[in-house]
Amino acid sequence: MTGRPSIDAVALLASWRRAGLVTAEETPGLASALHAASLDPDPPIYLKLLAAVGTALATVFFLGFLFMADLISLKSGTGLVAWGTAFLVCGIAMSMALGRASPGLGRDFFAQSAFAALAVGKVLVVAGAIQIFGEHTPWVPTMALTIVTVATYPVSGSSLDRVLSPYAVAASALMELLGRGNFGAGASVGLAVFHAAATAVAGGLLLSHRVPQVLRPIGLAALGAMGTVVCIVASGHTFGFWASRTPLDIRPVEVMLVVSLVGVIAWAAGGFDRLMREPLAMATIGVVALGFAGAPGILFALVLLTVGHALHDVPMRVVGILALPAFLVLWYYGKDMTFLMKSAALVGSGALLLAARGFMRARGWDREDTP
Amino acid sequence: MNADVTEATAPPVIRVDRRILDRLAARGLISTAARDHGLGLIEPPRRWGVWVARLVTVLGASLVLSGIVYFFAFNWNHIPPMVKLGAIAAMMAAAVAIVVVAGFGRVVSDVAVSAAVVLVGVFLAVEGQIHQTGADAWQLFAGWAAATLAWVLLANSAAAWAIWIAVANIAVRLWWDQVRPFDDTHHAGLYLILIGLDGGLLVVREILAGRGVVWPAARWTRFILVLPLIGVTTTAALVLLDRPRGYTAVTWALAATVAAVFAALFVVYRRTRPDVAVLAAATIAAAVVLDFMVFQLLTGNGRADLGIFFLMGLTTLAIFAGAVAWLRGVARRMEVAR
Repeated sequence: MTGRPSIDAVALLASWRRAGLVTAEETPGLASALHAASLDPDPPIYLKLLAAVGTALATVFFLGFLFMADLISLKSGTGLVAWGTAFLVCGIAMSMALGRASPGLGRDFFAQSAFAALAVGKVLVVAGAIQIFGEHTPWVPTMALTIVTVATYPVSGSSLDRVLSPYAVAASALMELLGRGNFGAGASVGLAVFHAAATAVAGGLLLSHRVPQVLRPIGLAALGAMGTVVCIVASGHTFGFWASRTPLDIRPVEVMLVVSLVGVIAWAAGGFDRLMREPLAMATIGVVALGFAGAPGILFALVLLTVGHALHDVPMRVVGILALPAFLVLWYYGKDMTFLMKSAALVGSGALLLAARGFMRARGWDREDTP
Repeated sequence: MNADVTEATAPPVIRVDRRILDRLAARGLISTAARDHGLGLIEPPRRWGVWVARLVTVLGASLVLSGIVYFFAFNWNHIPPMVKLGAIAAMMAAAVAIVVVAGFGRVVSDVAVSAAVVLVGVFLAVEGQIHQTGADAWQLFAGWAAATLAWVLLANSAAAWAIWIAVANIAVRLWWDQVRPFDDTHHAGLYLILIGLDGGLLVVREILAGRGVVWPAARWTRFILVLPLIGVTTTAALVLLDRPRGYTAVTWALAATVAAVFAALFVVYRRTRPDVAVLAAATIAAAVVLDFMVFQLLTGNGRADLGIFFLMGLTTLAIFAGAVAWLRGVARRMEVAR
């Protein structure tokens, strides 16, 4: 049960055989591989959300119990780390034992318990590390989060946990860079380096089908980190000043987003050489023009929409659809113009897009099936 | 192995999706050509030209409309009243003319009708600013909804209906807050009327879609009604559970309505109109309500002690594990039935 478009394995193997893509000798091995892969399905997003809501609530109750019972003191760093480690060990053991548990409701309860134990353990270990080393010591939360993520990622049974943990590492690193100014070369350089790293990880892990599925959650976390940077620089008139308390130079991030969107278009089209074709060349010019308009949020939303559309990834497309109007509002709000100029800019840019639509129709591009 | 969802029994047939193909390709078991061939069978090829054209149309029209709204919202001091109203009326007339020329059932007509519905609201707001009558804000939205009801009924446009539903919801909320007395039944009454409005429209949507009417059949039209309905029903349930004493006739009616809405959602979207996404949203809401109900029962609406926190942790895990198992089983049966 996947909830996504799928095909019967027998029909697929037959089609491969007819197309000469698979030999008769390879067929039994592939049938076994397909059967094995189908026994470990990726759950639909709604089941992940349901499990995550339950885990979040259970984690709150268990943490409440531990603190009310005076088993844990927030003032004792070693106590927090010890309890957290115990929970992590339990969570890891339960996750590893899951494969041997009989399918059914009991196994679901077991899986949910493992997820909750890992969540409680991570919270306690990170809180303990901060307590031991002092909350003002640079990079302690990031290091603690990295350690617990590396320790639990290979065995974590929850794909949502595999997204949230690396994202927490990235978010805490961003906090060190901007909120606490713990990057020697300055906040702007730190932000550019951070965004470049997030872009490289997201692109490398999400756009290649050769990457093992187990690493895809890290790619999604990196995409989330890119989105966080974009939200910070796109918010308000000060381009993230509120987050860093120093003026940020966001041009490197904007350039990277332009390159990312052009790269994604080329990837969806099947290669950079396709960008020479007239429709894609026009699209590339439009993206560069958007870059000059200083609209990082809109560029990022278009990256999400394009990748989501190409991969048939409905959640990513929904996020892109929601992000687009939100970043449009932020862009027009953030521009230092009079209200009259803003309304003119809105109508003008809208008219430009409608004119582009008319141009597409005149050229027959709106009926084209492939890029 | 994914722990958040695990399979209870082996599937009757092996279904192969993009993820399985990518996994085989990553392990080098199939070539890139075989992967692409398989993807072509599973997912239809993307029609990028059509997609980009639609994106550009919607974005362009939204920006032009936003610019017009922005212009009148912030520059009205500098414009003579008759010019303001005349310009908006002219734009409304242009939108209606587009519909008349293009005819119903086309994308351009949908955009034009939606624009006309928005412009009526702009016209009323500007008129209210020019000739201030001291009327409450709810009257603007009620007038807006009433004035555009005939258009949306005629237009058969899901987009225009979506705008109208949002306006009607705001009108009801403002009317209740600004006119009705703030007594013990204030919130319960508001929840009842909102459930009635969104639930009633959802029933109409399902009946029309079931009879083969095309324009409300798009799946997103179900979600713009179901999600607010679940949101207000869940809020009502949590509020009722939070204050379980001194129920009046209205609060009892709300309690019965909440139970009926949840039951109807589970029955209709499991049996009559199978939709696993709606069932998932309803299941998440129902699990949260059930969890809160157990918490209230254990605490007796008082302070929670040590044992209750531990028990609630286990209970929460059990409730949500049960919900995951049930929903996964239902989804599999729906897939097999399809």
